[in-house]
Amino acid sequence: MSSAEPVIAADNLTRVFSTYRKREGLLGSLRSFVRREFAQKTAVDAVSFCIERGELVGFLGPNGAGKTTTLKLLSGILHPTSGGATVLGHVPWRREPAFQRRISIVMGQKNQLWWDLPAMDSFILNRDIYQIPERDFRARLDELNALFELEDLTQQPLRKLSLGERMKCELVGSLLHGPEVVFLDEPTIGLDVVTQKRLREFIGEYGRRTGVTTILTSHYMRDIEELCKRAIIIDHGRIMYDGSLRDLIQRHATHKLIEVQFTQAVPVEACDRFGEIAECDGSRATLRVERDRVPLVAADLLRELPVADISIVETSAEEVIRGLFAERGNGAWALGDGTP
Amino acid sequence: MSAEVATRPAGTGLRKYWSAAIFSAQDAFTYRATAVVWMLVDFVPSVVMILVWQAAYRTQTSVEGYSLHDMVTYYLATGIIAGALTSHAEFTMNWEIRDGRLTPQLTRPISYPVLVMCKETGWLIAKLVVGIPVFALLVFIFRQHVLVPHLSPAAWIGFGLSCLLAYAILSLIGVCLGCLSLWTIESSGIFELWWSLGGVLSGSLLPLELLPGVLRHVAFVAPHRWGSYFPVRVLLGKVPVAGIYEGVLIQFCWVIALATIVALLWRLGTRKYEGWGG
Repeated sequence: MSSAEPVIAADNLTRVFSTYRKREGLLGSLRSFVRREFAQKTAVDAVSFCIERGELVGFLGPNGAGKTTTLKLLSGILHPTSGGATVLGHVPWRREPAFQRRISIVMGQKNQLWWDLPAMDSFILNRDIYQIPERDFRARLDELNALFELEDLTQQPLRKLSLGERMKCELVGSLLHGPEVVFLDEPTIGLDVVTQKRLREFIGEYGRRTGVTTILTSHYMRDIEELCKRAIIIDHGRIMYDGSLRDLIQRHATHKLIEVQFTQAVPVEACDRFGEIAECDGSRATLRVERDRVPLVAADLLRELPVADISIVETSAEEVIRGLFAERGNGAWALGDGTP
Repeated sequence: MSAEVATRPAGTGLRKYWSAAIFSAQDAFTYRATAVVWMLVDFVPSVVMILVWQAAYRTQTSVEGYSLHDMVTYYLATGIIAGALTSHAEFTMNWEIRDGRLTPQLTRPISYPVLVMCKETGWLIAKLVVGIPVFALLVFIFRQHVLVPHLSPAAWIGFGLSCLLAYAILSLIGVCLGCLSLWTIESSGIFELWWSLGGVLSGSLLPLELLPGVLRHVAFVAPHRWGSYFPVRVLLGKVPVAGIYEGVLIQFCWVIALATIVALLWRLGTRKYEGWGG
């Protein structure tokens, strides 16, 4: 593969699942037992994109949007119904060992390490599975241990570790063979806010050090905002947006937020004529104002109210995306704020 | 740290399977009580059958050429050999497929069916560690009826080969059954049916010569008899040396046939696999 070729290329990738449908109740169960009804569900619908070497791309979307299915197709777990893809020049679902030695997948809801044994035993097994030379194995293990601050956690049975500690071990286990492409599927799911942040830092730092190509799926906006310059937003199996989050905000954010700190208490009624009140407690207020009216409203606020401090901020990416989905009639997507 | 893959692979491709078996044995030793109970369970039918036959032999000295001594030795040998060689790969696969644990395994440079067989081999080691003392205790208890095998070196070698191939046959049957879960998701009912028949057709319940007409014919064409039954008969000295090597050859043919079926089922099944569970 030449260096100009994308590391990952998906071309009209489509996967349709056949889903068994059961009518409700006992009678429904009996009917289904005699005669099964199946429905077709398109989980990934003609998805096309390219990812260059070293990119860290976020896949964002609600549950059931097709994020994980796309990852499963690209990592060779699933065969597509139609369309094609190459990863590092290989067709993933052929599952060639030469390809598998160059990729890795971490699934937030699946343990790959041995449950009853210390993580170190699983690491040694991975060394043998990926045929990692002993010297490389020890060097990478030491470096990853230091980066992920594992200390003696690898000597304890996996089942005795907390969810966050287990996820760190899973990440280390998946990186020992020095993959060139890493698929991270909801790595922060279920973790507390502090652990999520630490894990994001580890992932970001690892990407910077190694230049590994990474696809990260999450329905936590913060994961994508903090780690990825490029986001692919997917819903109902189709790509809604592919680009930088900053561009997305500039293109679709119709409002900005004006945050005001007052020198003395100001009643709510005095603020609401300036814009939509997002927050107001008397001493400070946050107003949602149309982008083109912001300079005018800011000047009015400074002139008419006892302002101690004023700042203008962009609408959060989360709000923009929520607005986009609402426009499409998908009000069901509640983007996670990182709180489990 | 380099993200480039190591250019010089370490070790041979087989080392990973050896490691999987060793770690599986360590895993099995984690739950000592379970390992002990499983091995005891394997001996329960044998002990019950010995007690039943002891009652039956009060009125006769031979049944189809089997003396009481033959029968006691047969059931004790069946207990240890069948207990150690019987694989439960199908239950492992069924659980991992249904639960979606198979999903990440498909991205690793390792054959999952072989990996499962190696994991089961780890359990075999654990079962033998527990089973041999139990076997020794039972031999002591029934010592007046136990026949000490007098085999030639050639027969002993044949016995060793027959055990290895019997283990391969039983493991491959387990993996074949396990592959069915790629289509059905939950197959434990099918497994129970298979092993219920297997109890009869593999000689665990009765020596096959004692089965009634049609069932005996079925037992002699089914693959089950090439599992634990054949090595047990070799150990009891009931097969001449030429017959032992002829049997080993037939076992080898079964291994090839079953390995081909596993490869086919796995190839077709993983195309069908939908990676349930997130």
